[in-house]
Amino acid sequence: MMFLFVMLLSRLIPLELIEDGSRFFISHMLLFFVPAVVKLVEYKSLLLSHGVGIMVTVLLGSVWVMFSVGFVVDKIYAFELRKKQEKSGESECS
Amino acid sequence: MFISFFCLFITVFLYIVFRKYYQKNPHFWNMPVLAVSCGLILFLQLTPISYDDYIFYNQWLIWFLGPVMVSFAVPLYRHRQMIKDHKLSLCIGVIVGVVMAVFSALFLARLFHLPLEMQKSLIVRSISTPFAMNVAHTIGGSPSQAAVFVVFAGLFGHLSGLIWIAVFNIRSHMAKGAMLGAASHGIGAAKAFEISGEAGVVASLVMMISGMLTMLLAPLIGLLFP
Repeated sequence: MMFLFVMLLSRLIPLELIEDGSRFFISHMLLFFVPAVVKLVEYKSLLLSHGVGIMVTVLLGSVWVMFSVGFVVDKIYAFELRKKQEKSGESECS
Repeated sequence: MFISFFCLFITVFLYIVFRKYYQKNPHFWNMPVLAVSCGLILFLQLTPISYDDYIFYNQWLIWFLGPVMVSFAVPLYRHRQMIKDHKLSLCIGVIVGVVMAVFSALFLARLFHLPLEMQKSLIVRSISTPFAMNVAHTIGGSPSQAAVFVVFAGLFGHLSGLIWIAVFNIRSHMAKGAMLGAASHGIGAAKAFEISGEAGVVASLVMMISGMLTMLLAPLIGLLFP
């Protein structure tokens, strides 16, 4: 993926060549997960016996990720804006 | 042999039907990945067809997850200007998101004494499914469990994201998008697009870059499990 990204940036591979293909794969990617999810039939008892632990881990973990990312990015975004304003302020003065 | 072929046929068929249906009624409970998987699991439970028969041809579908991951280079390339403009917020958002996702899951999963394989599948829950399955496989978790936890985390963020945005008092659209993308990948990004176009693009960028970063860090993450 990084290789392809670099190739696109350097224009060694024209975007038009792979655009349709990539759109097809991304828009239909759900189909490719399905057989993997179906494998759950083999884990049925395991998942049922640890249901509460899984729920709490996913829910609390997600809330924690949302909080930390939201908080940090909010602060940094404000910092980025301030820096931009300072820059434009300077150029107006000069 | 015939049964395996029939299983491949029915998987693709159900997918096409539910995709059409979902486009008309976009509610999360008839999302193709949820509805088709549930339908097929029921089908396998009710008929004497074994999972081995089922996967015989369907493993070719799983193989396509590789090209799917590579395809993410194109949207990344298309948004390169956005990445340039907000590189600091994006970089730090992604790093915080990935580190917090791994350690929060690790801590909680150990607290509940979940089996090792399940712990490994849980720590990849917040990145996009193709990446999550790849990383789960690399560090010795179960790709299919990972896929389910990923969908679960995605739905949770999609349904409750707005509540947490209000609770944590997050103001900028940049941060709203980043938190949804970091915690709930594509399904969260769908919610972010409802907030604003900017939040949606940020969410999908954070989701893609987090997936890549986690994949690159997979050998290090493996070291967390002695």
